[in-house]
Amino acid sequence: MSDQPLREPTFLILTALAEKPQHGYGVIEDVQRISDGRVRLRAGTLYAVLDRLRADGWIEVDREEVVQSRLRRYYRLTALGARRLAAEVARLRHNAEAASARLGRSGLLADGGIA
Amino acid sequence: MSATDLERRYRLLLAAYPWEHRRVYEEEMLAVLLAGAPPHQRRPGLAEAWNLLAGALRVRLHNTGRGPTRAGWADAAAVTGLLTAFALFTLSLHALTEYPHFPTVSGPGWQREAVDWARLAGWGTVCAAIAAGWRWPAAGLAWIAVIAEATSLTLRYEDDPVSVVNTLWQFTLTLIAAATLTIPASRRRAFALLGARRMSALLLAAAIVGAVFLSNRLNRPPTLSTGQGQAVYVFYDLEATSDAVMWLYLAGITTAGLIGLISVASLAAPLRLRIGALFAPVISLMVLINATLAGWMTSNGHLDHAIHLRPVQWIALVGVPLVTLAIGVLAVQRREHVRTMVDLGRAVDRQRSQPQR
Repeated sequence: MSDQPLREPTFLILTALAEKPQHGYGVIEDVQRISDGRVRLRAGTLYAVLDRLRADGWIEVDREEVVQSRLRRYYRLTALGARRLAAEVARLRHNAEAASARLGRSGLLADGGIA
Repeated sequence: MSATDLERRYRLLLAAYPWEHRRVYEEEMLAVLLAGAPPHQRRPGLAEAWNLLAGALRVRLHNTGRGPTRAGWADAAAVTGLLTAFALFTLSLHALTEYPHFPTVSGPGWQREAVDWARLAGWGTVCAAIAAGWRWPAAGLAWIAVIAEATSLTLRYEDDPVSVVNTLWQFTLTLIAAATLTIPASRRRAFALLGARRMSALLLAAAIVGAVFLSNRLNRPPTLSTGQGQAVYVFYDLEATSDAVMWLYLAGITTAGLIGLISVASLAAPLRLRIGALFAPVISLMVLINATLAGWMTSNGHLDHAIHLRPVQWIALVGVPLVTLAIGVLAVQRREHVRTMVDLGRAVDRQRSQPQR
């Protein structure tokens, strides 16, 4: 498994799929919610990432439906993908805690740091 | 109908994707694009169009370059690195049997002995480092071996170009070992992939080769100085006084080779094919040398001065292995990507054949 930091779209897509299987448009909307509207994935970006994640075995197809004559494919996180996401969460948390602690000790911020 | 116009235009943009990708994702992507479009939109937005075209380019590069199965290549590199280092260690075992003592500067041909001992110690250390999970020291040592072997080839080329060409396959193996050990992999990944049974088989193969070398050393025919006639059978560095003994040696070497081959052949197809692609340059180089340079070698043996290779021959010696590697890697990538996409496409077909909700 790669130890490289995940890019933000990849991290957010894995996060969107962590709780339950979702279809493509559902992932786009969920990523927007997770990022407080900051990240709005486009279809080209989404499917380039989904294709790569499937090839790496981090996600897989949960089920497929046809709704109003349109294909809807649901994706879910695999155990491998969950481990990779957990490792990334630990890495980000560690860095964030270190940054927060040092900012607090520096006294540069008026409110004493980050909550 | 605006929806029809929009769909048609999106389909035009999606045509930029490779067919394997379209077969699996086109309908799904179209559904997402149409679901995200505002009512009465007739044309894709500029940003959306750019994103689709950039995505198509990314997928095309991804399929031919980095590949959809990076983890698979990392696994293949880990196993290839171990197998190559172990093969080079096994081959260098002949130093153990060739020289009954460590070289001394006063002995004849001590430089050659020292190089052979250094090879044995070096590749033994590389194998030990891999076994201990020290990937970077192993890769560093392998690259030192590449530099040392390249220097040795360069120094020998002026006086003895034939021996240089004859040992190029060994240099290529050294290069493959260094390159594959440099590719990141988790600790002891190669051992996990090969498993205890295959590792035992490979150790047995090395023991057989070592036994042949040792027997060759102990039973080597004496140097004929008196002119007495005695048949001596020679095959590369192996020498025997009887046909049967030579066949025994060859059977031992062949058995060891077959054990190694079966160990790799019994791996899962994706791993096996990748390892084959990584070793293919060595095979193509040996075939090229045997097919095109036999006459050149014979001529060199009959003349009192060395005939050197022409630039075009060097280009072939370097280019053919590189092209073989590129073709092998692309063929494996292509095969697996198509298989994956066809499987996924079948799933879509099955879904479509079911009644719609």
